[in-house]
Amino acid sequence: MPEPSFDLLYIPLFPLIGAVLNLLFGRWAMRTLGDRLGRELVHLIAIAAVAFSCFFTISAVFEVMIGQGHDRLVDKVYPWIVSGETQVGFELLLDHLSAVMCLVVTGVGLLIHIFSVGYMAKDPDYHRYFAYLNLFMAAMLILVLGKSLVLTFVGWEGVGVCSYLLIGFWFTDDAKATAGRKAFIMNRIGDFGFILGMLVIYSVVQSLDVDAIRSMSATETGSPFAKAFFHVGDTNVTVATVATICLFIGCCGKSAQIPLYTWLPDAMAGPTPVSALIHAATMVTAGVYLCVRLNFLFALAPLTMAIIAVVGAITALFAATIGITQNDIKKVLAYSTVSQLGYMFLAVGMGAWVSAIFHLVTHAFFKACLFLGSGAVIEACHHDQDIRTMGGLKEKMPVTRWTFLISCLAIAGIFPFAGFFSKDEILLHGYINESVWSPGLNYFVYVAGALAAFCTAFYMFRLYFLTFEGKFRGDHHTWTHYVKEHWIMSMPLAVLAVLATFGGLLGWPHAFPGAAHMVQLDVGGGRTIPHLEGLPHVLEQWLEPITSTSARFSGEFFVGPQAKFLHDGHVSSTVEFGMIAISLSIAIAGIYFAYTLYKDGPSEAASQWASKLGAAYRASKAKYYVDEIYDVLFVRPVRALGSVLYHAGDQGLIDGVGVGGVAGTVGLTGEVVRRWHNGNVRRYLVILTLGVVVVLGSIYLNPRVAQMGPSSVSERFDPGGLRPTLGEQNVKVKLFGVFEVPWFSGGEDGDGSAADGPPGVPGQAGAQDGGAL
Amino acid sequence: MVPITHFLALSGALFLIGMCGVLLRRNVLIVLMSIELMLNGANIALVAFSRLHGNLDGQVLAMFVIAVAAAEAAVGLAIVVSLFRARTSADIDDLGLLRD
Repeated sequence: MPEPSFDLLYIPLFPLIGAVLNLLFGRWAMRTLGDRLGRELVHLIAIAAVAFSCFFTISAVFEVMIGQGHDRLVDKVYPWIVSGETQVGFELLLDHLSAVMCLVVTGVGLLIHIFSVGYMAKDPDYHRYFAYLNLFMAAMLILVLGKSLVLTFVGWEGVGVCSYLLIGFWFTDDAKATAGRKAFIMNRIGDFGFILGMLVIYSVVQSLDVDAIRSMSATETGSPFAKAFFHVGDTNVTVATVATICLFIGCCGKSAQIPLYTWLPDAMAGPTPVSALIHAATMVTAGVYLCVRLNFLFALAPLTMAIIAVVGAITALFAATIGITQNDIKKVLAYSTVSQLGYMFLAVGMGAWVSAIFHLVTHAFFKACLFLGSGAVIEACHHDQDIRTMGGLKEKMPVTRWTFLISCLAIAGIFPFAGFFSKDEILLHGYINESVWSPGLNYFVYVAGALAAFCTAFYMFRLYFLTFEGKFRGDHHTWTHYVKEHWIMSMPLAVLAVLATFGGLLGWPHAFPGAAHMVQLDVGGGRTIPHLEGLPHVLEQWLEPITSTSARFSGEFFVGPQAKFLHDGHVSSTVEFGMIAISLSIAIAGIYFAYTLYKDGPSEAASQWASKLGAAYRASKAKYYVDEIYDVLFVRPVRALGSVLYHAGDQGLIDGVGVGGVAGTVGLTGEVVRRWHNGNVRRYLVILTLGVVVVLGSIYLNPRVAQMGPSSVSERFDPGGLRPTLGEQNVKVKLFGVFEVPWFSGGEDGDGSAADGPPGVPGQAGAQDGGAL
Repeated sequence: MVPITHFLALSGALFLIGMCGVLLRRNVLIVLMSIELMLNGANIALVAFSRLHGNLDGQVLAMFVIAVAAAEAAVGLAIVVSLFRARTSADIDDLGLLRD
């Protein structure tokens, strides 16, 4: 199919323009137009920019891709890096995968921009906030649309920068600025892996274009990725494994997986809509997106896949257990995000690409809704984030409460909310996508995922009950002077809640009644055509072109459900229904447990459980001391090293010897030379005269000039015999003889010139004599 | 005919006297006068060589030098006057203003 050219550039360009406008003119607008009008202008620009790119994406996807049946839209903007053989184009690609991501990013982004108008209404740096938010949208869209990994990396770094800027948005608070730095540094560790991965891929493909990588991978066992080896000790590791492990390190940083997840909970220092957009819905899912984007490459590396699955499963469970004991409303959601990202990587590791993207989409809906809901709660409680001092807020903020409840049900995995479908699909595939390379891994992954699902249901409803049910536990003033819900904050919540409710329909399970199946449609004349009837698994069909390459792999590279679980080309209904029953009962158990403990605020039973669990409870509450361990293992040594390098290297070598040395040398020279420059004009003149005498003397008394003889000089100057006359007079000689220079003692030259020279020569010889005296 | 040596000796003597004056005297006026002496020493040499070669170039140059010297004397004296007004002294050693 020909790839139609389409101006995809506008999708990231609009937010970029918005960001530039607000950065340049935002402060000016807020000053000159008055506070109210200025703010209106600022957020109108920002929202319009995102709305434009949202509508542009929608029209590109629905009108051009679906309406006109194009699988891919490519925009070759310009050849970006051209260096010899290497050519990296600034090319944007909208295929089925990036279309899903673009829709999520622009759609959720638009809602969060609208929500921010309410949340940030009083902030003095309003324009800066919206500019950063727009900048983030631009970077994220470049990340998603980049056809080459280099361009994706540009977006990858761009979102990292915006994340840093927005976490440290209130940078006057030292803790928040530190959180921003922490996020940035941990991301840098991951980015290092990303760069290495790109270099490894480049060494094989000689290009970083996704299509080139795909065509290189497509041959499976014949692929250079699987055939070329790195030698690690005695074992040989395929290039694919090394490259994907490096890339996965990048994903760990960006998507907050163990061991690089600790920045994400700290990132909650930023404004809450930022947490919703960047640290829940979009940026942190970039790692999942990258893995699915390169699924053919990851499928060639079963070792990496196993590592990803294990890391994802452990992260899902680990973060979920921390989430149980946290008391900061945003911290709970942050650990929940880490945990859900773990699910996505679990799916990626088990080769369930579609499930990963499915969960990414539904998670974007309900987690954005949860974060925005928590933002509304925090706003209402005068920026108090401790759920121990909340409670009973349902009568004050009904919209927030209902949307929050829907999202809680969705994330807990209750039918028919979105999370049910996606999480169930991940657990299902975690179980049935058993790889021949890592037998038995699926059991571990499944158990960890199921346990994490229990924890998820529990902590989400603990959060819900403590916040909205029971009695208010804060001070009286907050309760009576709470900030009322405003439509501009409720509207995005409602839209996201609707999406969180129906988003699951994107992936209707095959076992369910009404699921799509092929029927032979009679078109008359005895001919039949196959026809799809019923509710399809929309996302699976939609992403088919993306996953088709890796779906063809076989043997150790096979990804997908094992044959023993399949029935008639689909997962057998018994397995699927069994899984659904298990995960539903787990979720309900978790919710019930939370209900018994927290339905009217923290109960006696809850503290009894806490003391019963003792050490485990304390460890979870202290986040397993991971930050402290990292502090001892990495932060302190690095700081110590930095301190040494600062004192010895920077201050000693660079400042001392380098900069200070140059300055000192110049200063010393100046100290010596300035004594000459004493302002005494006559002394200047003496020196000037001496200089002239030396210059003239070194010319006229130089044996070589003398050797040239008068004839050669007269050729160049006046032919009228000036030199002979002077030579005869011998005037100059005695005068200049005083300033004789050492090299002028050679008698042979003088003799030579005497032999050659015309009448002036005796004079020259006389000059030598005078000099000798 | 007076040989060129005499002219050159006179010219050199004038130039040296002028140079000594410039270098050794402190009074700005004397320095200016010494500069005139040096210029005239150069003029004598120019005219002498002009005569020797039968070529008018040297005399033309000498005329130029005289004209420039006149202008220089005017400007120089003006500077001396204003300096004297500003500093109440015409001592060249007091003129280290730019250095301080």
